[in-house]
This record gives sequence, C-alpha cells and structure tokens, in this order.
Amino acid sequence: MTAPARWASLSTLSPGPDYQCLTLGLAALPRGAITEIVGQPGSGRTAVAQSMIATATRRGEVVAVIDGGDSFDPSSARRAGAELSQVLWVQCGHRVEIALKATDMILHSGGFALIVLDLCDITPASLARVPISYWHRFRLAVEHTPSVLLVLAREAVTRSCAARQFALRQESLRWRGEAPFQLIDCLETEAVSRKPMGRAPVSMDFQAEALAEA
Amino acid sequence: MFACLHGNSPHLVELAREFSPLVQPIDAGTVVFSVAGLGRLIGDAHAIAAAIERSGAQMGVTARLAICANPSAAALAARHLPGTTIIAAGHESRVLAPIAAGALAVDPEILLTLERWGIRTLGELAALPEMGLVERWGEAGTRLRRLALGEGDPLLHMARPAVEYVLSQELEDPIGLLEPLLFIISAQLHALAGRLQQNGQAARRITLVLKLDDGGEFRRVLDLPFPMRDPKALLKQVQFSLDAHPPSAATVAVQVEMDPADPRVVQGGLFLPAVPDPEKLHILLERLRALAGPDRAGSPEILNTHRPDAYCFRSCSFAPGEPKEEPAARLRLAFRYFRPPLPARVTMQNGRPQQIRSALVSGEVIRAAGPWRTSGEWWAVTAWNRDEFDIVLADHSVHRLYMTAGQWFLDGSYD
Repeated sequence: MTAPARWASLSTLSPGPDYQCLTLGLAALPRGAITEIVGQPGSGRTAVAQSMIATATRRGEVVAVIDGGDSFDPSSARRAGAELSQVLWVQCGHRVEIALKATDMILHSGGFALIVLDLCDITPASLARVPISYWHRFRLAVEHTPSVLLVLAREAVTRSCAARQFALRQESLRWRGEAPFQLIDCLETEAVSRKPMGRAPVSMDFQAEALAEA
Repeated sequence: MFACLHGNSPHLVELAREFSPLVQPIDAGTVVFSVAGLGRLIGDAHAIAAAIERSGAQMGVTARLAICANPSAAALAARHLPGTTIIAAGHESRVLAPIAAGALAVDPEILLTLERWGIRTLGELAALPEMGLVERWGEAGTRLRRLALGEGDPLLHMARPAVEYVLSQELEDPIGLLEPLLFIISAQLHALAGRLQQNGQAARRITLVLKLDDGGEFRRVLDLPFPMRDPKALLKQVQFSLDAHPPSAATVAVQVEMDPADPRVVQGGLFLPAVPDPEKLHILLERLRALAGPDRAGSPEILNTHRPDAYCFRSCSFAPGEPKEEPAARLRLAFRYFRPPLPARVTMQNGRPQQIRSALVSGEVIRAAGPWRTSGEWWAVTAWNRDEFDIVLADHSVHRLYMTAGQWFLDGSYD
C-alpha cells in the first residue's frame, strides 16, 4: 500500500504536509519546471527554500544548492529538518557566471530532485546582464526530468521561463521577552502567486525559537 | 585429456600456458593442464607430447611429462615415472601399479598402516577390497583406492593467470598539447578498461607516467573514490588531473597502469528515489571544483563546536535512502551569512545601535535586541568573543550585528 503513496509524493515538493492547504501554489511545485521565489531581504525566501530542501532530503532525495552569494547556512537548514548528507552545496563567490555554469552542469548531470539557485545576493545589475537564453536553456534542461529548479532572487529574473512564480513580502516581525533582551519570535510573511495570477495571498509564519536553542 | 609436467624449471607454468588456458599448478615443481581439444590442432597424444617436448626444449625446460585422461593420474605418473608417459584411457591402474604407495598424498597414519599390512605399491593397494577400506577409513578409504586406480578428481582447480593492467606507448614525435595527449591516453584507457571487463574487475587507482622531452618523468596517481571501469569516466579523471597539473615539457612516451579491484555492487530499488549516478557525480564534483574552487563544493558538515558558521565540506556519496519522517509542519526562520562578515560603521545611542553603514547594508536601526555575549575556544586560534545584536532596519530587513575587538561587523540576515 505504500508504493502508490510514494509515487504520488514524487510528483510534488511542498514546504510541509500540513502547509499544503495554506500555501496554495507553494504546496505543489511542478517537477520538470522552473519555480521562482522573489522577495526583499527578510521576506522568508530562504526559509521556504530550506523547508523544501528538508522535505526532499527527508524523502531520501538529493538536493543541490547553488549558492550565488556564499550565504547558505547549513545549521539553519539542519534546524529546518534537512539531511545535510543529501545536499550538494556549491559556493559561487558572488559571481553570477559561475552560478549559472554550475546550474547547467548539475541540471545535465541528473539525479537531483531539487536544485536551488540562490541569486538573492547577486546585484540586480549583474542579473540584468544575464541573457534570457540561459533561462530558456535551463527550462529545456529541466523539462521531462523529475527535478525542480527553484530560483531565489530579489526581483524576477527568469522572465517567461518560470512555470510558477511567487512574491513574498514581510508582514510583521514578532518579538518575545522584555526589552532590551528580546528574541525574535516569528516572522509573518504574505506569499502572492504571480504565476498563475489571480489567487488569494497566503500568510505564512516562520518560527524562530529554534535559533536560540542551537 | 590432461597433461602434467614435473621438474625443477621455473618456466613450467609458462610452458603449460603455451598449450592451454586451463592450468593448475599443484606445487612448485608440478603443473597439470588440460590438452583436451588439441587433438584436432596437433594430433594424437603422442603428437601432443612431442609438441610439448619441442616447446620445452626451446624454452630450456627439462621436465617429465605424462598425458592421461585423469589429472591425478597424470600427476602421479609425471612425478614417479621417468621420461614421457602416455596412458591410454582405461590403463591407468596398470601403468601406475609399480609406483610406491607412499607417493599418495594422504594421511601419514594411513600410509603407516598400509606399510604394516605389507602394501608397498599402488597396484597392491588397488587390489584391496573397496568395502574393507571404507569400513576402516570411511571416505578417505574410497579416495585412497580411487587414486590407486588412477580415478582421482577429474576436475582442475585452475589458477587465474596474473593479468597486468599496464600499457605503454612511445611516441614518434613529442606531444606538447593536452588534447592530442589525451587522445593517446584514451586509447590506452579503453584497452585497459576492456581488459578489466574481461576479467570482471574495475580500477581503483590509475597511475599515469609520462616521459618528457627534457629527460624528466611526470607521474600522477589518481585514487578513485570507488572502483570504476567506464573508460569515459576514467578519461575525465585523467583530463581533470592533467588540466590541474599539466606536464612541464612535451611528452615522448606514455604509460598507463591500473590497480584492479572488485567492482562496486549496488542493489537498486524500484521505489527508491533516484540519486545521481556515482561516476557522473564524481565527474560533476571535479568539474564544479575546477569551476568554483577546490574547497567550494561538496556536502556540508557542521563542525562539533558552538563557534558561529563552523562547517566544512566533505566528499559527496549519495545513496538512495528510505524516506524518513517528514519535518515539522512549522516553517523555521532561516539565516543567511555574509561571508566574510561585512565591516560596518555603527552609530550608538544609549548603548543601542542607531545607524549602520556598510558596503551592502545601510540604514537607520528601528529596533535592536541585545547585546548577546558569546565566546568560546579561548584555548585555540579559532577563539571568538563578541557582542551580538539583532537589528531591524528601516526597510524591515533583519540582521545580526556583532562587535569584536572594537570592530563592528554584519554577520548575516534573517530571511
């Protein structure tokens, strides 16, 4: 009885089983396509990506993180539930051309369930110089594969090549404790589906208490 | 049909291999080999014996030769009968009869008993009743009688010939470019990989030796993460190695050597998730390290310390695993590091950061929590001691700011 369930689980990657009904588009990322998550710093882009890394690695799948700005925190990912032994991490030293070439290599290598291309710390000027042909190449490379290419950035970069696009915006930041020794309690974020459009925004809470535990 | 050579020459095995791939060295001076099938090629047993003697004479081998339908009888005849002995099928017991019973490789106590009985030769031993021998010695008695009759074990326990995985080639003209050199090496790798496959083995190490035009020698040893024999994957390994460490002069001779090992065996699973192919993954890692830097790709491993941002890379070896329990449904706030930490200029008011300026992040601090003092590893060069603040800037970005040794740094941001 487990086999059909596993096959079904291979068709989607989601931030968490209980979150599917809340997160709309984020709950069902299409395999074989590019998904883009954009937002300003503090909007929860990295938290969503790390949650997806955790989900994939917990299923025994392998994830690649192409870290454009050398900003990936393995401790954060482990707190989110990721199995770091199932993660390939590539640091690109703020060089967008290295990030794109590494993504191309990994896409063509095959076998990765989730490929996270983190361009959040790449300057908009550098990203604007990336030819759109790169994104078309990535779209064709990931097509007909069981992989998800997840692109994180401040602004939309993949243009028409992304099958799904979400914009995150920080709603509020909750604190706990007495001033001045307060701790971040929770980050509240609103996710808006830009592609497809016309869906109601989804609110998400990112708990922070585990940071203090570690 | 089997032949046996017995003598003191060290080339007995070599001589046997001239006639058959099925060779069993019994001891340092005795080799049994199959001559079945040589009848159509050479002729009858006498012609085969003559051919073996001719080859032996050419190789300088002096040995006794016996040809018989049974390898055990051939070995007995070669060891204990002079010259060349050819035993026709069914006549083994008659030919072996004069050989002393002590020639049999059996328990010395059995031989002592036979001697007490007055049994001196194999002919006398073969004449004893089988049931009596079985009642006294059980299975050993049966074997004893079969050996005396020339009906021993009809199978060879063959020793595999030692296969050398070395190929050398001298070049007519020196080669200075890597691409034509790799073309030469590729041919050698394909030949050696074929040899590995033929023998059911894989390579765990490649040793590349290049003789250079300036008289020097260039040697590279590539330790593979697991035994492999795909020539394309092996060639990629050599290519990455030569790209990273090219020879200092043009090459005049190439030698490729492989250390064989048992190939990797992996049990697949229909419902296990797909993972990258190990050969492809190793090549991918080499390419990523060549692209991004030698220490900038791999699986992260968190070090056993409380020091912030303490991690290292380890080599990847992904295996499809059984799914574990799903992570908690709650999303966790993540952190992003600035590597290296961003130096910042901080304006303080009432002990709280009020304004920060750095290369990437600047602005008014609208909320700050801290300071949180952390320190550790005072006994090591990795010691740290710092005061941390969690700050929110006017653009609602959330950062971690810290001061150490009087200097302010932005550690990263919450996202």
